[in-house]
Amino acid sequence: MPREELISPDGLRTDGRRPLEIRKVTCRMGILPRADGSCHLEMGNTIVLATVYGPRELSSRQSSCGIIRCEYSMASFASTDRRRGKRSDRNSVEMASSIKKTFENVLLTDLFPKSRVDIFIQVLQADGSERSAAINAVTIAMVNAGIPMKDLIVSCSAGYMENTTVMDLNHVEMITRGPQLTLAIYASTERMATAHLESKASFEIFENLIAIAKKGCLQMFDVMHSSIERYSLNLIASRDHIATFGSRA
Amino acid sequence: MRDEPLSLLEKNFALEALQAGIRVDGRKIDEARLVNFEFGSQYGTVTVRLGKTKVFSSAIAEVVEPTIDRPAEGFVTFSVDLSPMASENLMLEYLYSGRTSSTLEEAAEIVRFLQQIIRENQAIDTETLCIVAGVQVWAIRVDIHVLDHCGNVLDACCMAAVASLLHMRKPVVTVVGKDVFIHGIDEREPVPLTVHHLPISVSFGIFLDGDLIAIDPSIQEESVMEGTLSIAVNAHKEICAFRKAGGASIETSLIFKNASYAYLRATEVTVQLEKALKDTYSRNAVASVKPLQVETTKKSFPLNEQVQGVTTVWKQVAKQSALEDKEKTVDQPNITSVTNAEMEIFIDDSEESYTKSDELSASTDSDEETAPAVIARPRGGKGRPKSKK
Repeated sequence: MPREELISPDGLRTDGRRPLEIRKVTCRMGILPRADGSCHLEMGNTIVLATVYGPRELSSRQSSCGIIRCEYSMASFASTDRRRGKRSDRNSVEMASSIKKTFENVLLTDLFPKSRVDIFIQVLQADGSERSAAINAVTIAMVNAGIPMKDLIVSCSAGYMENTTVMDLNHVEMITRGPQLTLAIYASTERMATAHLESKASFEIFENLIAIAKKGCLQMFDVMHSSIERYSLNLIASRDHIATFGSRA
Repeated sequence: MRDEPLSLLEKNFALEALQAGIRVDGRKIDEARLVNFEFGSQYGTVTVRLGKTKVFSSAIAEVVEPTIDRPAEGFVTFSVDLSPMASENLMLEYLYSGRTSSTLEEAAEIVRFLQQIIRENQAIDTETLCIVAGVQVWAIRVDIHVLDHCGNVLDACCMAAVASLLHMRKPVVTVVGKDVFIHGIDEREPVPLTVHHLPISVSFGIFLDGDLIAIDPSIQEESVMEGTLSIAVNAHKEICAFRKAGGASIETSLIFKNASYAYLRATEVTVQLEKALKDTYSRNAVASVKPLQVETTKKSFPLNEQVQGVTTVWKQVAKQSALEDKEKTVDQPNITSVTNAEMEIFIDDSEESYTKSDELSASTDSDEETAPAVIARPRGGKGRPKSKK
């Protein structure tokens, strides 16, 4: 079987993107009325649903600042093998704890003592970069829930294959098991919040991966920012409408 | 964050000391604790000390069926046991979360990290673990027990895993036609695993909102730190894993400085590990490598040399599991279904009725005098050991 070519002679990737191009990102906020914050994020064919509940009362344990709980799961239909989807497997536990720790530091938890915030992440379709998609979706869901944050966290992945560094990996590029990095940064200060490197990389490649992933994060931020803005403007507009409606009555 | 049993005063002291450029235990900011490897008498067992942190690890090999999509590859699996005896904090964690040891977040993170640095980076050649493609392969299981949690358990666990994989040997196998013969440990010298490179994990603690990063945090420092940064590097100057799971944010430019610190530390540890391994071998060469002698007290029992080999392996396995049971408080399934009691039966058993285990489906043909140690056939049926008539 001939080895699949990841980058064509023209420099295009398997899904037709250029190396430094992220996939089409669409996000919808506030889609679940029961939750305090929710986000449905699509990064190409990767679809993630994040919901945030809270801050709500913490029953069992007293603490001086709010605590965060996180649960990550992958739907059993998310990928080609049906075995996945268990909530308690080590991958999911590790992913959840990494996301929890990321947001522990960015949320202003001392503003809501003796309470907790619950994050639920469900991957509906896995086509690479699930970790970044989950982090981005949680950020937007947090904004939707109106929980105070120091900064927005944005995430993007980068990988190295066939002497090229590419950003925002898809599933085909991920399973090649080359050096790949998932990076999450603070949008305004550009400081590193979370980083996760898989497969070994030399120091030079690693440095390169960080630079490219950072660029990807900033691209991602532009898209996320504009969709948050659009959503907020819609909200304001609808409030005006209600206000005028009320006064007329 | 969990509530630490450390007082506020102690926390502040640790933090102020760090700000002053010296640490509570007298180290400098970029100075790691001493590491010590102590290999056991059994292959694959090692005790690693990192300062006061103490970790025990044992690696064993068993015969299993490969997966359908990778029929010619063996397995390397890890389990980390963070029992409450290791530290008070863990005790609290168990109480509050109600989790069991394997699903504890910290343990899951360590296992994931180990899988990443050893399995996914091909540190162990899994293709050499194949016996018969599609039928039988070796599964190497590394069980790590944290005995004393005095900070930076991740690094200690990684070093222990790497050390026990280096020290472990797997029995020699010969394949004749469809039959697979597994030779006993005193029949043929067992062979070491194929290790491509040695990834050494080096962790850093992040303090003061990301402004200060100190290598190898102790338990006192862990309670005041705001995040960790773990970098696994090998001697070829390759970064095998880089993990910063949340916590305080840091400047990306700082990372490269830390990566080079990690590289220096990794080379230091690698040299030490290789030296410790060499010392063990030279010591064992004098005091005989053979870990166990078989007592052939019963003359009536037709134990030929080959069968002796089998009993040695099995006895070792049984002893191993007994040792492990002593080491930890929680129950885990036994390595094989052979217990000490069964062992006795196995030895006492006369003539041709030998037990057939799940893992090493072993039987001996008594009429065949020259039969090697174990004849392992592809597993036909599932279920408990059956005696063969």
